[in-house]
Amino acid sequence: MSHIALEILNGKKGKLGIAGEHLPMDLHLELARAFPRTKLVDCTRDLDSHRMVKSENEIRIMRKAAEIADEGVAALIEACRPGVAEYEVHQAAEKAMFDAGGDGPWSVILSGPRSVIPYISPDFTQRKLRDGDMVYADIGTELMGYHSDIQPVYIVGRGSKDQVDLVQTSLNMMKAMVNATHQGATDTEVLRAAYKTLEGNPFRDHVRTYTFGHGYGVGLDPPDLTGRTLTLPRNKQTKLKQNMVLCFEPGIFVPGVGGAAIEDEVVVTANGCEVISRCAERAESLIDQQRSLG
Amino acid sequence: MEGIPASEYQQRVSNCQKFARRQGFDAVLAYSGSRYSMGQGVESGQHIRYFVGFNFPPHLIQEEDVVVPYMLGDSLVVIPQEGTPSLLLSRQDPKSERAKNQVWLRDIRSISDEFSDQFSGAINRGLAELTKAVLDGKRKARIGIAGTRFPLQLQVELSKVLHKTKFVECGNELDQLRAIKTPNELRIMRKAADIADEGVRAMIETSRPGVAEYEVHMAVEKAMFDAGGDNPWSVIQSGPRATISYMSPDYTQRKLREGDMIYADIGSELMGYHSDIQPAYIVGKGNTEQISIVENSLNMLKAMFKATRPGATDTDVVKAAYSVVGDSPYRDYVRRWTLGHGYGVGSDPPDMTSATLALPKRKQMRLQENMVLCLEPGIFAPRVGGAAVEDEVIVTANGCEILTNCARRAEELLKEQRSG
Repeated sequence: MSHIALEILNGKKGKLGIAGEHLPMDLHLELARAFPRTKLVDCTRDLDSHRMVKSENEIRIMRKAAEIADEGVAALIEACRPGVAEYEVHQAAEKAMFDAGGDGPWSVILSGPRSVIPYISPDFTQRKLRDGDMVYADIGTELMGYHSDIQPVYIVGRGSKDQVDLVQTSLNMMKAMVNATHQGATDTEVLRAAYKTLEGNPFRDHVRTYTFGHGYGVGLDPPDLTGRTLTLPRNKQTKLKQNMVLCFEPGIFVPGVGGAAIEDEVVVTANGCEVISRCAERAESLIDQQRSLG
Repeated sequence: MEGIPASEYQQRVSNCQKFARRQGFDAVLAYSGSRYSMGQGVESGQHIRYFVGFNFPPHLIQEEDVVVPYMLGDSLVVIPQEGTPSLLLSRQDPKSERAKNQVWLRDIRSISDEFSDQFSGAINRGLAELTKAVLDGKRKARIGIAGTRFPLQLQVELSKVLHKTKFVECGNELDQLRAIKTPNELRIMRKAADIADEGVRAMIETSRPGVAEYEVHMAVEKAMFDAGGDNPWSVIQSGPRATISYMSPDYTQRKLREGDMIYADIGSELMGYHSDIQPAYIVGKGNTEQISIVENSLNMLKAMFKATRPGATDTDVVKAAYSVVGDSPYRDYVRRWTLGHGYGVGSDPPDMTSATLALPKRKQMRLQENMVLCLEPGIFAPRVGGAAVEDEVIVTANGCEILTNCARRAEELLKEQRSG
C-alpha cells in the first residue's frame, strides 16, 4: 500500500496527514520508509471532527436507523416475559430490526444478575427471565454505513421500589442532559447537568463513567470519539454544533438491585435538541406502569 | 457437563514452568484483554482461561462472580519459574466464597482504585505495579510475555517498573503447549462439535427458497442454544454473497432462491472451548458447475483426512489437498487457508492461523496425537458460488478421527443433486 501511495503522490512529499483509528504499526513503518523525507502527522481526530456535523442526507439516514432500533426495543418489551430466554429476546429484537429494513442489526440482552455487569460477555445466553429481573439491553443497527445505538431499560413483571428508583434516577439524568443540550454548550456542561441531578441520591456511586455517549454523531463507527468525554473534568472541551448527533447513555448498575441504562440519540438544533429515539419516553411509561402495580 | 478438574490446571501451570526453565524465563506473564465486542459474541479467554479455568456456563453467572477475568477487563496470570501463580485483575476484587470457588488459584489481586479508569491506559500502570509486587524478592532478569494483542502500553509500563528486565515474546510457544489436548478437553470439544452439527442440521432444514439469510441464522442459533451451546454464532451467505468468503455482514435480509449456493460457517463455545465447521449447501437444484465445486472441496477434504496422522506436517496435509485439484478448472479459486486454524488450541478460534496459510512455509509443524484440527478446503468461483467443507478432526495414533459431519453431508448433497 505504501508503494501505491508513493506512486500516486509522486513529487508531493513535504508533510502527510494520516488518519484511521487503528492504523497498523507496520503500515506506518512502511510509509516512513517509502517517504523518507516526509513528515507523517496523525490527523485522525481532526478528520473525525469534520465528520461530526451531519448533512441533511446523513441525518435522514440516521433518523431511519434510529427508528429501526426503536422497532427492536418494541420487540424486546413484547418478548420480555418470565420463562423466555435472553437469546429468544435477542432473536425477537433482531428479527424486528431486519423486518424494519436494518442492514446489520445487533442486540445485547443481559438479565437479572447479568444486568448488573455492563458489557459482560456473551451478549445473550440461555438464561430464562424471571419475575422481577431487570433487563439491560443495548440495541442498534447499521443502515447504509450509518449506525444507531440505544438502550432501553426494562423490568420483567413487577419490580422492587429500589429498581423503580434506579430507573427514575437514570431518567432524571437523561432529562437533564437533553435540557442542557444546545448549540454552543460543551460536552462537559451536558455531563455536569446529569451529575447535578444525583445530589443526595443513594445510587450515586454506581453511575457508570460513560454517561455522555460515544460518537458525537460521527456516526459511521459507533465508538469513534469515546475517549474524549468519559471523565470530568477534561482539559479540552468540545463545543456542540447544530446537526451533531449525540448518544446520551446514563446508566446505573447496583449489585443486588439491577442495571438501569437509558440511551437515546439526539440531533443538536439551534435552540436545543431533538430526541430521535424513544427510550426515555418508554422509561417514563415503565415507571408509571410499575407504580400503578404497587 | 463436568468441567476440567483443578489438578489439570495445575498440570498446565507446571508444564509452563518447565517451559520457563528451558527458556531461562524467571516468570511468564500471560495476558488476556477484555473480550467485549458489541454484537459479536465470539469470546476469547486466551491463555488466561487456559491457566485459570472457569467451571460453569455463562447463563448461571451471579453478580459476585465478576472475578471471571476473561469476561471483564484486562488481566494477567503471573507464573513464576518456581512456586504458585497469581491472577491479576483490572476490575473488581473477588470477595465472595462463590467467586473463590470459580478458580483454583488462591492469590488473586485487583489493581487499586487509582488505576481503575478503564479508558485512560491507567490499567496498564496498575497491572505493571501489581506484577512488580507479586514478583518482589524473585529474580526477574528475563520474563516471557504472551497473549493475543498484548498491549504495547502494558509492555512499556512493565519496562518502567522492572527496568533491568528483558521481556521476550513467547505467545507461539504457549500456543504449542495448548495444542495437545487431554481427555477432558477432547470430551468438551466433542460436545461443542456435536452442538455445531445441530446447527448445520437446522441450516439444511430451513434453507428453502423465500427464506431470508437471517432467518436461517436464527434457526441455527436457536438449535445450538437448545443443544446446550454457550455462545453459538453463524455466518450465512447465499447466492452472490456465497462467492466471497468472509464478507460482512454475516447474514442479511436476502431471500434464498432456487439454485443458490450457501456458504455457512457455524460454531459454538462450550466451557471456553470452541467448535467451527462449514457445511456446503445448494438450495433446490444446482447446476453442474456448482455440483462440481462441492465435489472438488469434498475431495480435498478427504485427501486431507487421509494425510493426517502423527508425524505428518501441516504442509503434507495441505499438499495432499492441492494434489487432488491439480487439473481442476477451479484450482485458481481455492481459498488459501485450507488447513484451518487452531491446531486444537481451542479457546480462541483464530489462534494459530498464520501457521498454515501459504505454501511453502519456512517452518513446518509436525502433527501429534490428540491435536484437534479444523480442515477447511473451500472454493469460491464468481457466478458459480462458494463451496467450503470444514470438519474437525482429532489426530489419533494411526490417522485421525472425524468429529463432525460436513463431509458426510456434502456426500449426501452430491447424491441427492445427481439423482434429481
